Amino acid sequence: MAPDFEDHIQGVVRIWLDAQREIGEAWLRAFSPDWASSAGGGPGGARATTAADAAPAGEDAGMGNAAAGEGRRTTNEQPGPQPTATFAESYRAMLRMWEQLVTGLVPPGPWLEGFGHLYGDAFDNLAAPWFEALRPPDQHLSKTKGERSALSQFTDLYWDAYERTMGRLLESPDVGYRREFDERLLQSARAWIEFRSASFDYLVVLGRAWVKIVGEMMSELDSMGRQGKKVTSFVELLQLWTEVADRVLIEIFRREEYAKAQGRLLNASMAYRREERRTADAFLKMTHVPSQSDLDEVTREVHLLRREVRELRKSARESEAELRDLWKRSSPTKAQPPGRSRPARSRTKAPTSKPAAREKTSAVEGDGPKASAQSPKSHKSDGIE
Amino acid sequence: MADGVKAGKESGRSDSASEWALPIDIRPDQALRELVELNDKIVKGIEILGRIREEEITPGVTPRQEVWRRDNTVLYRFTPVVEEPSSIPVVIVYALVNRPYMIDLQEDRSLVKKLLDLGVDLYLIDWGYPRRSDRWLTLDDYVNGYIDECVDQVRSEAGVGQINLLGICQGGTLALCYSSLYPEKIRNLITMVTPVDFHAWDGLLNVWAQHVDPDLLVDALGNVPGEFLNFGFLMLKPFQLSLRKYVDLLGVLDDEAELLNFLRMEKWIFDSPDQAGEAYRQFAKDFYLNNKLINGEVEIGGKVVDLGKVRMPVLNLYAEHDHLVPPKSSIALKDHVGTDDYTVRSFPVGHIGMYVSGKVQRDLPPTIAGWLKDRR
Repeated sequence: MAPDFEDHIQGVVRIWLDAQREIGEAWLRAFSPDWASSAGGGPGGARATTAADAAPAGEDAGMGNAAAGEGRRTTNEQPGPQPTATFAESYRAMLRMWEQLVTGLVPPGPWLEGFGHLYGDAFDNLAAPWFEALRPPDQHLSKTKGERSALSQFTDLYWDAYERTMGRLLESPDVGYRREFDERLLQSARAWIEFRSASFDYLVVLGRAWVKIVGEMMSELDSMGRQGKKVTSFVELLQLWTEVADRVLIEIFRREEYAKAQGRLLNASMAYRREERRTADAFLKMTHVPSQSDLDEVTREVHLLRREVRELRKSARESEAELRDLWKRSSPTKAQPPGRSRPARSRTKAPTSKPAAREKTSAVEGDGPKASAQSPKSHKSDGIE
Repeated sequence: MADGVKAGKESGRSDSASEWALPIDIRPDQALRELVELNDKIVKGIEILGRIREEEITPGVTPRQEVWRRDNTVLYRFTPVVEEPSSIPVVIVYALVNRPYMIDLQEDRSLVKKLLDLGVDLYLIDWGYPRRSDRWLTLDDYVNGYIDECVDQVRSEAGVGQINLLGICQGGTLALCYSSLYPEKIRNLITMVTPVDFHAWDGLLNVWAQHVDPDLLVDALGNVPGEFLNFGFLMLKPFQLSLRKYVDLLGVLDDEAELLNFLRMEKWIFDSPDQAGEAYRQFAKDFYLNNKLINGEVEIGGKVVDLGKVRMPVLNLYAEHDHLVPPKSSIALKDHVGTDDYTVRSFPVGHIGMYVSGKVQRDLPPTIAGWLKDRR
């Protein structure tokens, strides 16, 4: 048994090494500029023909369709072995290697036959979107349409591939002790991805604006040339540039496309910032350190209490005023009602001397006009007294 | 036919060739002269800048006294310069988004000084710099709280039942809200470059605000940073305000007076307080997003703001080239106030020009003082 087992292992290792080499060569060819046209050597020497020709039939169709998109060209040149077929073949070889390893170790049975196909199909579903996205850029760009730029739609291919494969799995609810925390991290990651996507779209809109500015500047110079006008100094040139650029930018800024892109970027960055803070709160909670949110809660309570105190004071003042009125009406002969009285205020020029400062604890009181000591951060001195 | 077309084309080409000239003609000697002049200015400018200190550009030149304070809000009274100031004082309500010393920037550009010279008894509400703990301040706190208490304080000090209110920019919007809620306390109302219709789409801010989520902004940041608002304002004219302004600065580097003017303006532009979160949230949602003011749907402290209750005389001042508050936004006030005594006056300047332009400095204070005098 042992020699057979060693032979078996050696065979498996040989197949695995061959498969890795083939995969490596296929990748190198895929990323070289003339990979589709390289002749001779390994597989994939000649240019591909149409997709229909490249797609192998039958059970490999799933992998083949996706992989056949790799390096597809629409030129009708000499048909030959497809570089993309090498990918499929390479991965198939690897799967065969694993199958052989398993069959060497365990007794064969009807369940094993479907085992390879099960994983093969699953792998096809995972890899296919990535192969689709890895097609040469011009094939994607020619198919983009709609309001968003071709470039931003092109990058969506990778987002789509991510979301259809790993992203889908990551979006599912987590399990276990860290469930809530992991969900928080996932929200942050999601917010970050949206922020990057929004940033890219915004830059594309701005990029188009710049192109238009340069075009308008050229038109302006051309028009000046036709009228015989000249720019005779660098300052004049800069002034002209500023006028043209502002004019174009303001016109673009008014458009719905720009406002939406800007709004999306701002909202995405704020959403990320909010998730960032929530994640930080979660971390700080674990370490028993108060967070900004905790302090905000405290200040909110203080604010509500202060408001309540002010309303109570106001209510007390109004009641006092009413009582005074009642007293006056009921006892017109008496000069003053009991309680506090205020001296009449002068309307001549205001006193120049600053009144004495009160304790800071009386800051909530509204009565009395004079200031408490200024806190350095609350109010900057910006006037002469 | 083809020959005729060809001839015409050739003729057109030769005509345009004779008319068209290279538009950029910067000669080396001219460029060199420009460079030398610039260097000369830079050298003198460095010498002047080396002498200038922050205290010299601290604005707010008119003497004033603090007469009331609560939290960050301070009520100032400007020292009268006439023996008998007007019997009904004017309380200035400035915007929350900038510092109020713009109206008292320097000796020769001070709306405050000019009004004092004309005998107006002037008070100013200074909102200060909101701290993180002020994040929970709402419009109710500002309008029914601070403004109301300031008005009561002035009424008590002056011994009058009613005062005049002068609202500037967003302060005008707050003043409108206050006047509709407490009309019995206001004798005359003046609004200056005040937005009323926030869906006047001439204004870029109005357009942009439609796509921004204020809830996200406030939930993420707490108080909305002044730097954030500054950036938005700069983006309204990006090249002029971020580039050309500083290139033009090179031209006045050797003029100390102009340099000081520039530095004072620069200080005001970037000295922006944070916006209290909840107040910003309500203002952005109710005013910018939903334009509730002119629809009579704004609620402040549980009370509905109805511009129809503004029945006191109103003077509405706006700038014809205002890119921040488009004229349409201000002019809309006429259709919503309930007063029969409505006066509107425009000035051919921009938003900032309303505070500092020489022409406006000459015409605006007498307009205000004269209008108030006729309605004592």
